[in-house]
Amino acid sequence: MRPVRKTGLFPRTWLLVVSLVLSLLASGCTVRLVQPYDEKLATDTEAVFKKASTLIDTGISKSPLRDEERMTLKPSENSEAHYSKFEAAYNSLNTDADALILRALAKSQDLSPIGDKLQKEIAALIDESVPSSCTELEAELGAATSSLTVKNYVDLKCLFVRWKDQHADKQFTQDSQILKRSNWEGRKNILFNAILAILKAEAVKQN
Amino acid sequence: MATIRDVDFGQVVKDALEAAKAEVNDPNTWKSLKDIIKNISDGLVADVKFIAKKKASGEFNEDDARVFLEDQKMLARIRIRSVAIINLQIAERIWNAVAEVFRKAINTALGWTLL
Repeated sequence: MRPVRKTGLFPRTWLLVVSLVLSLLASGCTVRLVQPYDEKLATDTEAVFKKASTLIDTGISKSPLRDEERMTLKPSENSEAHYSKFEAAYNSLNTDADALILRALAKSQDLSPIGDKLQKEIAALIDESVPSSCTELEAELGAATSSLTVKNYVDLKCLFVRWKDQHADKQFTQDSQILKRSNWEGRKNILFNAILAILKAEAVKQN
Repeated sequence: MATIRDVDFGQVVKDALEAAKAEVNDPNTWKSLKDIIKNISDGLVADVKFIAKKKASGEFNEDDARVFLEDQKMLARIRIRSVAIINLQIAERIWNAVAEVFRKAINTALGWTLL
């Protein structure tokens, strides 16, 4: 008997093969391992990207470069970079993120049982190795589904929630509720790569 | 590749790839994973370079770096999931193609439409 590999990848691979064979014998039909491509979801994701990108560009153009410059902005509430000037845009972005989650959830029911099982295992592995920074959101929305597609949108919303909280956080912003240009630049990089990863996964389904 | 405070990140990426290769211990699996791990490693190096540049220019303090890395964690979760979705989609296509061939062969061989 072959020794079990310490990574645990091999037993899982064999389990998958056996499950797929059983699935064929049991149903004789095709299997669905991922939820199908959704044109509207992809289009709406692009729209959210544009909206978030506009918010970030405004942040970059209005915000101070360094801590010293930020400290001179008194009273901070009068600054164009103050949280109060961005709050409505953050709220609107969060509503759009909710709509994306709802849309993805509505289309997540079409998986084969084996697809559902595999996605659950992958999701559990990811949660174990890189826990979410939004435990409440994850418990509320993420736990309701095994769909990796839905979970990606839950994490996208987590980023938006975190960004709003960071901007409102007096300790993080040194009592100013003003972010620095570099904070926004970091967000631009993260937003681009997050949406790129989500859309890449959707594009493969389309082919 | 960048060297930051005497840390050679070119060597760090090589070491990371070697460590991952030793864990996988299977040439075929390694072939399919290498690009993904290289991509993740390069992403991490780009993040460190970004933070180092912002620190040097005085634009990032320690809290800024901490918050940026925490956001990167969420990005990593999305990236890993997307890689998994792409691989599952490929597996689905391969399997369905194989299943269709077997379905036809079994039905033809037995003379009944069983599957």
